[in-house]
Amino acid sequence: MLGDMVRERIKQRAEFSEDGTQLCSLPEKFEASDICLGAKETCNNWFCKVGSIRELLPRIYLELALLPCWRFLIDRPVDSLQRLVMMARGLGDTLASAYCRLYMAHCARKLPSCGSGYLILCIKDIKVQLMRILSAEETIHRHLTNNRVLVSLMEPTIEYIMKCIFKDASQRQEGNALVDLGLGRNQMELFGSSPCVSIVLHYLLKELPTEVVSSNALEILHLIECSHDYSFDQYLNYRLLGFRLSEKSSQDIVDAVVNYVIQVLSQYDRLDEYLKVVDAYVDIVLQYQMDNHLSTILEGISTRACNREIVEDELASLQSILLKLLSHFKELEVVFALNHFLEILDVMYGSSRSIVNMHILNVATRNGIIRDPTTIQVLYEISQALHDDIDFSSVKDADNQQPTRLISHFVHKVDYGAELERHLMFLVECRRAFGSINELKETLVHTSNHLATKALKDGRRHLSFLKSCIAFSEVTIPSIPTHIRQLNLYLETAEVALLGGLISHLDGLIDSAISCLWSVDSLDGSRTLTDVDGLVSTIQKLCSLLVMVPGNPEGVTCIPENILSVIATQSWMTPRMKSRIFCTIVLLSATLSQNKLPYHAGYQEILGNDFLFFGDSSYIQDLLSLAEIVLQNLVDAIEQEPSQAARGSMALEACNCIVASFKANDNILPVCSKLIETAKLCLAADDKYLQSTIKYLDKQLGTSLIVV
Amino acid sequence: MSRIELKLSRSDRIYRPSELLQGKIVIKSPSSISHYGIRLTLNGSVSLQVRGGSAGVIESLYGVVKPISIVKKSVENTSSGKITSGTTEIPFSIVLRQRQEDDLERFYETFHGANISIQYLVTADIMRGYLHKSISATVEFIIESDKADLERPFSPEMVMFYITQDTQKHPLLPELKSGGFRVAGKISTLCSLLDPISGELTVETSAFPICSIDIHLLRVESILLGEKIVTETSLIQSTQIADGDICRNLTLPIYVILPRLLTCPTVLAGPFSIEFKVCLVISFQSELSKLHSKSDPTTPRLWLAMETLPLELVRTK
Repeated sequence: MLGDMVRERIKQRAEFSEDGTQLCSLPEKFEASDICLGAKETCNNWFCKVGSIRELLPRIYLELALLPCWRFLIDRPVDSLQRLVMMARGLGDTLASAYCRLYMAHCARKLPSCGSGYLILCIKDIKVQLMRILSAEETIHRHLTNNRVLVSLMEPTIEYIMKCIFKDASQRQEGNALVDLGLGRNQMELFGSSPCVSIVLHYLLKELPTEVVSSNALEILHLIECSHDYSFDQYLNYRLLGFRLSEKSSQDIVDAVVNYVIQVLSQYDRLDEYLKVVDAYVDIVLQYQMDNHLSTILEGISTRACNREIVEDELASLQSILLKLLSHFKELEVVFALNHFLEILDVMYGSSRSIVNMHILNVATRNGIIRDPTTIQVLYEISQALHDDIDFSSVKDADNQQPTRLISHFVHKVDYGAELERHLMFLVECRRAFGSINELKETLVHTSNHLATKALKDGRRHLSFLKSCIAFSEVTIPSIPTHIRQLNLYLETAEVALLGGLISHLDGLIDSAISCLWSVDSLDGSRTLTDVDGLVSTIQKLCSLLVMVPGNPEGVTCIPENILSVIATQSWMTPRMKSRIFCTIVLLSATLSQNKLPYHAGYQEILGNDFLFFGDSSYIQDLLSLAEIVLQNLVDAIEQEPSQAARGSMALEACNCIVASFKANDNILPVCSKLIETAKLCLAADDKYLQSTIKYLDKQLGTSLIVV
Repeated sequence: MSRIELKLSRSDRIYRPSELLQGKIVIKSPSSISHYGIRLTLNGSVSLQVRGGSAGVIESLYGVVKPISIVKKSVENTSSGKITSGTTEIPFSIVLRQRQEDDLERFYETFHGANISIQYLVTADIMRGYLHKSISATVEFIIESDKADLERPFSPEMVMFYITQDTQKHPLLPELKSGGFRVAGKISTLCSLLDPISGELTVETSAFPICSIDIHLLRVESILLGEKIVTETSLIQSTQIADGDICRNLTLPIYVILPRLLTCPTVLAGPFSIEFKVCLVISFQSELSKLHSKSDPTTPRLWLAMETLPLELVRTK
């Protein structure tokens, strides 16, 4: 701030004469000889003024602030920088000098090309200072914590200066060789022959270019080994080396380093340190396929982790290590086969455990179906653990979506192949274990139905198995909360029952479906359009299923009548839905009244209604009366539709349906003509649908309805 | 009311004896003034005053010693005439030193000390006869010697020093004496006025924690008074180079910029002399030091170690 202001002022003095006319404009890289005497005089006065300050600290700070102004006087102000670095040594207070050096590094960046020599000198001085603190402390343990704080407060300076050193290095790139040379020299100067202070080493290692790290890995390792003081934990330096090496390195170096580090690790008793270091090397070990090291590491973890309490930090490291393993191996079986993997997994808990579990499931479900029984068993247990950790009090949370989805996915992917009974057993277990996941129940029903059809396809007589599958589904469906889902699942199961020839089950399922339909409304008022459409098509599907279902003793029209009464009582049904359902029922009754049904259940033992009621006049009569009622309802529904265009097309739809279903007679004609009238009122005369429908009617009924 | 002002050609008002003193006389007047001429007077002198220092009571009573004149001359810049109303600028130019007649040594540099003051003044007078008060203005200008041009090329000189408990002439705290310390380094003893005092200093050992290391710049003014030399030493600048208990065996730079107004080249004239000294003071952490925080830092104390070295200052180009 002050420095900038002074600099501007002197620049102004150099560029303008006293009466304000511009003399020259200083280029960005001006030289001292470009500056007029007056400006130099002003500049010099500033330095004299600063020089007359008695106290050291303010004098250094002010001179640093004015550092860029040296350029007005001399071309290479590096010497004064060097002097300032040395002056800072006079600050006895460790922190004051550390922050003074930080400011120095900051100010020096404004000077062009001052090299990194002064920064290296700074680091060396800091090192001397640190050594002094460290050695003093070995005698007085009282201040140990104080000094740890002190050292940690010096960290920013060390970090920043290291950054500056290597930032400069990259800026001065004049061919790789030179850089390497420069860095090599730096390194020697920095490392020196004296033992390195570990905190300095840490930041050096952090900033060294990747190439230098990988080519000097062994030397660095040696340095880490030598620097064992409390300014920085040694294991963290090992850890950092691991991370830096995993950026880039070569086989033989990695071999040597990892061999050594594993040896060092074997001395570590504390799990926390062990894990932190291992975490850094796992990537390398995996990348270079050092399988023996991997098993050593895992064994190391397991001996240190088992039978004791794991704390939060350690969990995080474990999580990171296990995730690295999981993402490295494509096959889950390989991971499970690793020694101690499952043991280690078992010592974990809480959210870390859940995260690892989720990753495992993710890997498991990514690669198609899961066949291996042991894998299934392990995954099942993992799912159970995951399930236990889900907080169901906040079911709506997005957090829970992921695990529940993964578990369902896993159950879906399980395949026992020919061992159908075992698979069903598995499903039963899952239902018991994951009872609170609704999504899963659907999967369970689907899977059990799938199993049943598979059994049927085999052609063998698995009647009892089939029954147990259907029973399983029947028992499971009611626990699903959404009625529409229940309805769909009931129908699906009913189809399977029909396929298997289990009439009593079939009847029961259809009954349940209808009762479902009854309770659809009571659930929630806000229904989306797709839900509604889905419901209509479900009812249509039910009707088409009914074609194959043998009529029960209470009369063939019993079920359609049931549907009708549902429609009549449900207030939320729109006229449009109603008309579509009515049309479907009309079509159903028409189909059933044929002497030969268009399709039959695949299973031979189930006779169609055409066989059961062949020639039964009361059967036909029932259907007819049903049709009549429906027809009336249909016409009423259309009249209720508020939208004109919709009413018109509904009328035409109904008309088509009627004509297709009934023989032309006097009862039908007025209905049709009335519908056409409605359509004409609602639609434009040249509407294509209207035209073609009228044409079709004319052909079918043999009468002319065209009223011009 | 008419006003007169002297404006010198250089804003810093520094001239060398061999140069011309140039400038202009600026007169601002509401009405025209007639005069008998405008006269410029140059006056350079050394004024000596005996006060304090090693002077005794009787000498102090004498007060001012007769000043030594360096230069005194008067020239008429403008002959009699009339100055019109408004602002009038009249340029002037005076030779400071006639090569043949004046003694080179006598043109001492401008200096303002405690007892010795070397001052150069230029005065302009508009003479208006006996009826009117003459209008005048005086301005001081600064003389910097050009001796350097003639002498041998300048080379700064350094001296090595070391300070231990045994080099101290005054009593030290017993723990300081027994613990021991050794501070070594080097410092300028012959230095250009334009350059900083430079050198370096290393605390090699010190069993006792250090509080501060300072470099004091001292000025020694001596006046010959009859048979006696009256000397006054005053502190003109302190510079701290170490604050707190610093690391041992790290070299600290000594870098003291000389205060321009308080220094001049070392003068050893007959009737008076102006000399300089540097005093290195190491103060150790002591409860006692707090009791005397206001006192002169160069006074020997139990918790101080010091070394005083002469410093010769020269003018260089």
